[in-house]
Amino acid sequence: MRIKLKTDGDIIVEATPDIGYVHRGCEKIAESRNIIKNIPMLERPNIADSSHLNWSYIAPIEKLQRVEVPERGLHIRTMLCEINRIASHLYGMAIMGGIFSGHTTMYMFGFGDRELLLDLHEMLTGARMTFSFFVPGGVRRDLPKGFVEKLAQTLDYIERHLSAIDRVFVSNPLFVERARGVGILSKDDAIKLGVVGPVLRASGVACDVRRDAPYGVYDRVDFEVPSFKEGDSLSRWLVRFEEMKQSISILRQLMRDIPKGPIARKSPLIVPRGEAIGRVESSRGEINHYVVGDGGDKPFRVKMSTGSFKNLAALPFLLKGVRIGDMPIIYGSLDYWPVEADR
Amino acid sequence: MTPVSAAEAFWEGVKHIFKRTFTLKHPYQRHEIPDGYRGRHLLYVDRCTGCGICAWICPEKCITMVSGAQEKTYPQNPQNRFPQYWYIRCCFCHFCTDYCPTGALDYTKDYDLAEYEKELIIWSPERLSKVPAAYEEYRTRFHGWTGVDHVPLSKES
Repeated sequence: MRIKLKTDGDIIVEATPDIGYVHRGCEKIAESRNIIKNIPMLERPNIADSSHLNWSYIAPIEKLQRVEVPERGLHIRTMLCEINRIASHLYGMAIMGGIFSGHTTMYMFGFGDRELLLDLHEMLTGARMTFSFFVPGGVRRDLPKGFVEKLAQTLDYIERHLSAIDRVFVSNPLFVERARGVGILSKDDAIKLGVVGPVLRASGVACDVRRDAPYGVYDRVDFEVPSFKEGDSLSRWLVRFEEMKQSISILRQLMRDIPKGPIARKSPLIVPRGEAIGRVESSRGEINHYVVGDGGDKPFRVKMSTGSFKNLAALPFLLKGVRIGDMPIIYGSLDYWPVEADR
Repeated sequence: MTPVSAAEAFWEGVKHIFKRTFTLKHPYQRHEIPDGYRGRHLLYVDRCTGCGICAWICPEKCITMVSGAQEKTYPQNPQNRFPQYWYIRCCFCHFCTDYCPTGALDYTKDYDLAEYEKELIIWSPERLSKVPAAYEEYRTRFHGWTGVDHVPLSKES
């Protein structure tokens, strides 16, 4: 992606994001492959957050097939998604927060801690990223031996290290002075522009699919939806920081009682006639997959709608009237993932 | 700007002088890989019936069924058809392993598949049936405030 700027001296007059450089036509390719072959491709748009994309694609197919996922399967799905959310936020804070504000220590801290979460992914799914783990009817593998113990150890460590990240990055006056009051998105503007996820919650709208339209086992766990009133770049990072703490709390609740039983039910390799939509809250906002079936093994139509694309609508608005030096901070605070937006 | 919080941020960096080394010297020290890791495939030639379901389910079309690659013929595979992997395309989803009706494909912990020549990245059934060599693995250990380090599995108490 590139951003075309018109400036008056140091002040940005107009900003136009030019997207589409990594467009690969996922939606069209999906019409020519069967539903299982689509799984690895449709999770590739966001490799740091692939479990949410995977779930969002699988959910409408399960609705059309009328397949109920067993409780244990839903439990494992929710666990993987929450581990993935922490890893994705750490990645975002490392690259978009650390590198874009010239903060090398945050970059190292973020990637170091994320490595431990990737080990958990590897243990559960067999892959560090792009798991292809959810299939129609359930998940592909059961929890391995010793997974819960390792998860508990890792969460203890991550929780302890989040306070170090707080001191080094989020509360560091050198960063706070650069990010506070920069790129303010008011509540009304956020609703009008249609932004989602942490960007919307930082503007004072506590909207989260996990709470508003629960999927998985989110209706059985207690968690808060962090939101801030300021709507500036700093509060967008604070939302992500608080969300990581909430994810740790969700994972601890899920670890306590894991239901017994099967992890998957048999599902046919067809998409029955009809249409359905999947709603999943990813780490970059709400993701929807709209699937139309015609009774064959291939979907008739798949439409993706991702958080990064919706949040990009706010970028030209936020960049108007700010200095060029503030641009990396504002762009970084949106946690934009180009491939997810271009699809 | 408050000098106290600036000093705290600085001190957090200084503390790392006393912490354990987080990183591994990768080619010489390798991280522990859990069982079920989706590395390159292992083919049991004595189980493969040459049905071709692996080639059918492969999303990246990296599997080709080749015949006559094995000198010896197996009774369960009279046509002598075995999968051949083109690892440039493989995305390691391992749907082939999951869908194999006879369990002829398996996971290995081998992930170093880079080659200097283009032809070498195509893995013949014979090469796929070889078990990769084992090496010493380093396991992650969690300590209190001193952080994380890695210890060889042989030296772990």
